[in-house]
Amino acid sequence: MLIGYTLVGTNDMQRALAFYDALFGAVGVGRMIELPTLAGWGVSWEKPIFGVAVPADGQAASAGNGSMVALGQRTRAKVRLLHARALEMGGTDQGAPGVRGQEGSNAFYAAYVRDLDGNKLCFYCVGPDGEDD
Amino acid sequence: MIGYSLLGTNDIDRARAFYDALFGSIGVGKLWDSPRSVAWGVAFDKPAFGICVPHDEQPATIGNGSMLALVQPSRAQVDTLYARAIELGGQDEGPAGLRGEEGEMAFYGGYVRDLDGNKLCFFRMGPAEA
Repeated sequence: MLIGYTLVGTNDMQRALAFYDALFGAVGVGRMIELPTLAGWGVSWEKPIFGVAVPADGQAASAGNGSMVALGQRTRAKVRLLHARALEMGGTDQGAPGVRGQEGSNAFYAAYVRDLDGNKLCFYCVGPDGEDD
Repeated sequence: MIGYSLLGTNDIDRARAFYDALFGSIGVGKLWDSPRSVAWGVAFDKPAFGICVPHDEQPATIGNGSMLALVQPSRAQVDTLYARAIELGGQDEGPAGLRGEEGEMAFYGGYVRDLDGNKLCFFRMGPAEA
């Protein structure tokens, strides 16, 4: 059992498309699904896809408190890049890039933001600071 | 790309019991269990699903439009999870079955909400198994 995809809600699909295209474009990840009420980004069909959707019930989209999607990155530089790009695109800062806990071989380096609809995201990299690619 | 995904809960013990029983039905165990966050998965290098007490100490809420979709290796396993979730007190949001056309790219899914109202989908892509 794996995560196949995860969706967050939006009240403005065009704005969300622009936000996530610019955000994921910064790390070379493109759009894989584009429907009128749902769009998804990912690296391949075999990997989990992150998507935004207009709620199926026709009600306003909202952010769930406690809900968070965490996107793993191979380098700390990519964590910094994504955090900076998200803020540049109008996202809200929820925690600057940095090590949470101890530095070391299992160090958790993370940054937190909210998207334009208030959905919380985490960008992270586990392990010591390595080569930036 | 997705490393893990968390949903909020207002009763972590109840949520832990729910997901232990749910994922236990298909042999998936916990990856971590801390006072504020619990997660299930098949391995640390695969995306994990977790629940947590909100960081800001405010009540957990559900996001409308948010949904977590868990891919399964068979339609039978979609049926199992859907039935188990409802048995455990989850809310039906759409019975396990085919959405759209049968065929190579057929989408077989079941939809539920957990005890905190978070929406989940269990699905399998592909033709009916022999």
